Amino acid sequence: MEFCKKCVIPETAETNILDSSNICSVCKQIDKKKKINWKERKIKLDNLISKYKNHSSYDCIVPFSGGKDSVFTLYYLVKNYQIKPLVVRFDHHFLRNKVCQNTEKVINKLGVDFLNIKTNFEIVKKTMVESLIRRGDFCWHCHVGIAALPIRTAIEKKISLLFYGEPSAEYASFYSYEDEEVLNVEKFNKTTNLGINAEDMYQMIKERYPKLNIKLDDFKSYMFPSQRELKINNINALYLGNYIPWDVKKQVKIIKEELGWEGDEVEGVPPEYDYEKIECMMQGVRDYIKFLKRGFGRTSHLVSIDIRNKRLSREKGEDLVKMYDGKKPHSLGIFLKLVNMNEKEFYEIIKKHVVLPHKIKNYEDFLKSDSNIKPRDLDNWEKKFF
Amino acid sequence: MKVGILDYNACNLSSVFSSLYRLGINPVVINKSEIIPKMDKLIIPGVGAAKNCIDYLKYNSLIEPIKVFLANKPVLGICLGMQIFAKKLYENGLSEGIGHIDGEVKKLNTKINFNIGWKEVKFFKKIDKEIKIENLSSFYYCHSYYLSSKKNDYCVGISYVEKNSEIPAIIFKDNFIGTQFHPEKSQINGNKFLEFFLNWKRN
Repeated sequence: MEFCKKCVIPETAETNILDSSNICSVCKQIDKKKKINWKERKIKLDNLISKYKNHSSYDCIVPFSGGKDSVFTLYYLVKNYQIKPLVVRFDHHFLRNKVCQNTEKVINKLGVDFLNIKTNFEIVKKTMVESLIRRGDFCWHCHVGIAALPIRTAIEKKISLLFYGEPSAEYASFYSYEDEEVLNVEKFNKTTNLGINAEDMYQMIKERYPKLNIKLDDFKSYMFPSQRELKINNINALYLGNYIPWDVKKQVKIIKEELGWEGDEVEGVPPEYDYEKIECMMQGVRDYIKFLKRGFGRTSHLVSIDIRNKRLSREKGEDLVKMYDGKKPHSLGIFLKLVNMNEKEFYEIIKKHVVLPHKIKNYEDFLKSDSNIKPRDLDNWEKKFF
Repeated sequence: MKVGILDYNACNLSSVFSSLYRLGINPVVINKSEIIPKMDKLIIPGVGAAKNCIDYLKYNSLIEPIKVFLANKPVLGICLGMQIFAKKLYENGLSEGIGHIDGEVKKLNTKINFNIGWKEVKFFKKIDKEIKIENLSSFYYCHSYYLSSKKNDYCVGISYVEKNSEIPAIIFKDNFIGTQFHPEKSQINGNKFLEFFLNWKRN
């Protein structure tokens, strides 16, 4: 397996392409990021916001998880533009305590309205099984919910502008920094829904569980509005990171100092990266699956960002990757109980989704894998579901 | 904005209708000459044979209303819908076109006598600074005749059916934009093109 010479991402990463001298496309994108005329982009943002401000009961929607990116986005817009946002959170059922405390703090300090939407957990569990089997990725409900629900809310409440935070050019090559990334039907189908629409998912689940009493209406929250609906309602779903240069480390420092936002320990993530992916109990399992499929985990991704920003040497990054990537998470037990599978069944499913030239370890080694540190609050997670 | 799609008893009306509908428009399908002047923009779709099309337009007295409309308002002709604006057409025998473009519609002179599939469009000049389509974007073609014009002034972009055999991809004259490709079948680039036409204001 080939790795980028500059960062530590291998060729199996989605959309990431190595060039003839083994430099990956994301590293090249980040070089281009420095050449973007950010002053011009900022003026664009000023104009956009003044165009949409004071047209309806809210100026915009900020889709929100309580993690570092959405918190910074909300903070930036409220502080710099005195914007009146509706904060919309798709509650994926796996929110951790710390992120909920952070959310309370942030929305109280910034004085904003907050809307939490949670969908039927029985259906969520079925979608987890279905998308794990079909795509080797159990997070369909979350990918789709985060995108579809805030936009559905925007249409319902007649709010045209939405601000997501981190642009995808930071970590993948679906879009580059030169493109102006917007969330529309094209992006949703290309990067978000794993090729499964809500209508498809409904039909797939109906076939797998013929006795289950479900209706297409139960999947409404996951239906992304049509291009026509977006057009007629003048929906503009943007990424703040397209208008200001995204700098995770700097932004985390700001929200920690200004809002009292706190980091947390995450399975498979070095403690110095306590700000990343703290919102989901299943993050450890998700990153572990990625490791089994593609041969790299969350730490590779994190140190690569630092290497590109010249904050870490490649050697030190590789050491961290060796220490943290690919260890079996404690949360796997909870996950398997939720989806009603044993380790063998889980392994056999993942095996079908391995991305070549990476090879998955054999089943015996998989069983014997070292564990990650156990997060403090893990026992509480179990209590939430069983 | 009222966008009319001309129905001449052939052509893929519903593809054009659907792609405009997706862009938020409620298009009007027109088969009576008196409705044409009520529109703000007119689209003439393609697919069909030239002679039958021209005969139909003549028989239903649609040629004059199209000419009058074109003098004041934007018209988009797609494939055959563009070709009928030439002077002479040779498909299924000679027929006389609307004559807005000084050219003739002839059979493709290539190894295979048709062009079906995606081809890149090489732009010479911009119709308008508002057009957001990059050079060498791909569009979908389906035709066996092409518009041959002595005056290249009207041609904005070309495509190659085979090496060294170029055809005009986009024609532009006054209020008229014609495309040999099918924007309604050209996915994202096609949408961009239709959006451009919908927002297009003649200077």
